[in-house]
Amino acid sequence: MKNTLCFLLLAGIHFVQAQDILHLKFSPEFKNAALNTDSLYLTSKGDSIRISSFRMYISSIEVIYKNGTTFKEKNSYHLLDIDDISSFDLELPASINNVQKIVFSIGVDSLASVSGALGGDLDPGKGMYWAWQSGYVNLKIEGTSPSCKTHKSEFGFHIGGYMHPFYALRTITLPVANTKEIEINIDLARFFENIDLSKSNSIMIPSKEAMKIADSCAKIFSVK
Amino acid sequence: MRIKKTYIVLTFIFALCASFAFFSPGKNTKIIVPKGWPKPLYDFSKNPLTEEGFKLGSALFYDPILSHDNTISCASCHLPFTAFTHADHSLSHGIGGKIGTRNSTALMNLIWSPSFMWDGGVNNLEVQPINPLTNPLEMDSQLPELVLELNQSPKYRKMFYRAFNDSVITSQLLLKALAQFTSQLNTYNSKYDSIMRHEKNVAFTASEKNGYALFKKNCSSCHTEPLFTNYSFQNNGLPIDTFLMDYGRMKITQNSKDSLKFRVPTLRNIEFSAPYFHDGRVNKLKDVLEHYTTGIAVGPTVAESLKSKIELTKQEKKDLIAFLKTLTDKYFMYNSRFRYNYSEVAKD
Ligand code: HEC
Ligand code: HEC
Repeated sequence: MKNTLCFLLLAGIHFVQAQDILHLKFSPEFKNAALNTDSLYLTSKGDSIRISSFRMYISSIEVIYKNGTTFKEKNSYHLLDIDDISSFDLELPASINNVQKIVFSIGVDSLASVSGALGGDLDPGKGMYWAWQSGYVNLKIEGTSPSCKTHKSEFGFHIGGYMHPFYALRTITLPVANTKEIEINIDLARFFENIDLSKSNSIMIPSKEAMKIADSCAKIFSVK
Repeated sequence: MRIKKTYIVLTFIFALCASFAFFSPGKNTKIIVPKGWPKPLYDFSKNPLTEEGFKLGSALFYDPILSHDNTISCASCHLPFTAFTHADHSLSHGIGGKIGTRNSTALMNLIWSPSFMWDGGVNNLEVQPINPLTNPLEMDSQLPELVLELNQSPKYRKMFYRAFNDSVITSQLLLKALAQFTSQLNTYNSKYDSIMRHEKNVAFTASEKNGYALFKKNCSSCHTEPLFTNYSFQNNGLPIDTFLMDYGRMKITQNSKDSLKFRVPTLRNIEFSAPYFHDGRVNKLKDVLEHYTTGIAVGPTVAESLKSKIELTKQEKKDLIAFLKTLTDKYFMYNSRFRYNYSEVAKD
């Protein structure tokens, strides 16, 4: 009851301050087709794949305006999950006028990674937490491909790590033309561009190889 | 202007609500930091200790509800009578009698530790239990299912409400509750401590005194007072077990310089926490000394201080062990507050 009351009060404050809502919409795709867990896709290396799971953290979102001001989202951690497509639509309480750039990171920063048990999207029960080596999986892609000589032809990429030299967080800056709604493509075809699934099909720990993939993750985004 | 005023009033009311929410979980519990000890590293500001929280943590710690088939509790591997380690098993047993890959560590003075597990892979006391809870060899539960199960228990909903003012149980609250308990398993009342505090009517015997001198000479560079560990990662010369192939810290850092290094364990209550070493390979303190005097495998990563042979006579070994036994803290070992039914007995 007390909590509900506080919530209503907070909501009230919010209302009084009535602000713009900036929509930030991520669209997961493979080349130019919408990404889903049923379709078959062909990578540029010639591997045919199915994607069974795609989840990633988008964090530390900033909106930079033409007049030099910046909006920084507080407690900015969002888990995007292909099984819940609405998780790809974010709303920011930020002005929609004269946006110049948008900045965000893929993954969870080191501060949150050492801060103990967290809640919300950072809840360790979300399947994006490494128990035996504390830290979040920044991005997880799993699926199958006949190119993988593995159990059930499965591949899995769990990219993460918050400690030097395996710091997997990558920050992306994208120039934005239209405002009100910013649509950002996530093209997983680009993720697979440098991956030969017959040779590399399983990354489960922070490692050198994971860092290379983290670099290429930064290239999957583009503004529509 | 009007908006601003409303804002201020609302903020005030909100602050009032918030402070209520914060203070309602009953009296706060104090953590004692003995004189001369470092500041605890665990961040209590994010999990203020309360008696209700402690009771809840203790109930969870002893409750097999936490395991998939409801057979194993934290206490199955961390028994209070054995300094919260798994007695008589070199490798901890879990669900269906499956054998894990490491000897369970004694749970004590955890709030001073910068990392957890033998390889230091865990970075915060709160997230440590995710390991046993989700490891198929240990408790084999999935956090979301476990949280669901706890939410179906009126007993736990009530206890969580009392502890955190929230009866909706989340994995975050479950982990914080366990930390309310584990953060209080602190030991600093051994004979050694009494002597260091210059308490009356307590002194080392001649043998213990000599043991202490030998300890300072040979052991305290790693097992540093007052916590009896410096928390560094060291290769203390144990030859690798060719079945387990456990390279310790290297698994975490992927760096060959860390091969065969393990976190230096505390030696407090060591008398009771046999078997010893990360895989529980020896059972007696005299076997531990046998290792340090004759068993060091000098590989590329072995600690400098152990490369030259440690020589100890039979009597010196006895003395060293006599000293190690002064690290036993009976108040800790037999504290009813840490026992199985504390949350029941201490019902209000
Ligand atoms: C099946 C046995 C088993 C169970 C059940 C178990 N543990 Fe452990 N625990 C271990 C082992 C083994 C280690 C050492 C692991 C390692 O270093 O790889 C350990 C380590 C720990 C540590 C780290 C101590 C340190 O100094 O690094 C904590 C804290 C801990 N356990 C708490 C718990 C809690 C809380 C529970 C219940 C949710 C629990 N354990 C259940 C076996 C178990
Ligand atoms: C170079 C650092 C270093 C020195 C010096 C050292 N130790 Fe250790 N000690 C360790 C490490 C690391 C471990 C854990 C090794 C493992 O299990 O892999 C350990 C483990 C132990 C254990 C087992 C603890 C447990 O909970 O299983 C005992 C007992 C012990 N040491 C006693 C001693 C004594 C007595 C001396 C002095 C003769 C000594 N150590 C010197 C690093 C050191």
